[in-house]
Amino acid sequence: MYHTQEQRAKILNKPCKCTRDDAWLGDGYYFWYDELDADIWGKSSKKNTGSYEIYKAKIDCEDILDTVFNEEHYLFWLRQVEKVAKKIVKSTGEKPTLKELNDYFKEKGTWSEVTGILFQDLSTNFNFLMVKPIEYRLSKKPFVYRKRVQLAMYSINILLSFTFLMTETC
Amino acid sequence: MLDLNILEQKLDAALAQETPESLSEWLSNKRKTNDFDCFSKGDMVPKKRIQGNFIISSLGNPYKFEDTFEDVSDMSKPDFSLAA
Repeated sequence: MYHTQEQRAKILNKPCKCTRDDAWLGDGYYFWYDELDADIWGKSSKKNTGSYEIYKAKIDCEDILDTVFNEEHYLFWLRQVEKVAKKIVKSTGEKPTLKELNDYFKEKGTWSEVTGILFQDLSTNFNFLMVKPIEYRLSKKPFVYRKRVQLAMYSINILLSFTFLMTETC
Repeated sequence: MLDLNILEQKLDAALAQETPESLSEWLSNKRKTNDFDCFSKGDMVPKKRIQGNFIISSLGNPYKFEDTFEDVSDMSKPDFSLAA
């Protein structure tokens, strides 16, 4: 797994916790599954100091909810997300964000044994796709065949190793 | 290894106790808290050193240049030092 940060005065010895309100799955340490995504993220979103750093980590994934590669976990997670969302919408008339749902799982469902969630979306950067866009009449539509996988790690205790990999300029 | 049945039982027990009022209050509090998250809870790391401060003083030279070093954090970029 890979962790991207702005370049600092000192090399990090542990990942930085993300507390941004738009962090998909709430407060946690975020890692990219693929080095390519860590690199793209650095170029697009870690530009404040002109350079970014990528760290490589080994993580104990025994107690993570793997919604990407584990079918049982994915179906379970989907069911819980929709169940809680439905109840919130019915009670409040408002749709919750994914972060709020995840906060609910952690706070009210007391899922303390879940040490992280592996999840995915699709990249919006089409330059790295190796497949030609689908052409139909006059339109060209990129086919995003590659998953962009991330881990939101909630417990630092499952971090087995964390080492500096490289510095790149934005 | 996670026991999904236990996770689901715990979640269902929590949901069964909810009322429209309790969920509205929880969501409202969550959003109130989140309003402040935009200011970030991340550690601010000094990223610049500046040399020299102009000190405005009522005594002597009102625009005395004081030669000092000072670490500053760029508060105009709240995203700095955040993860993800």
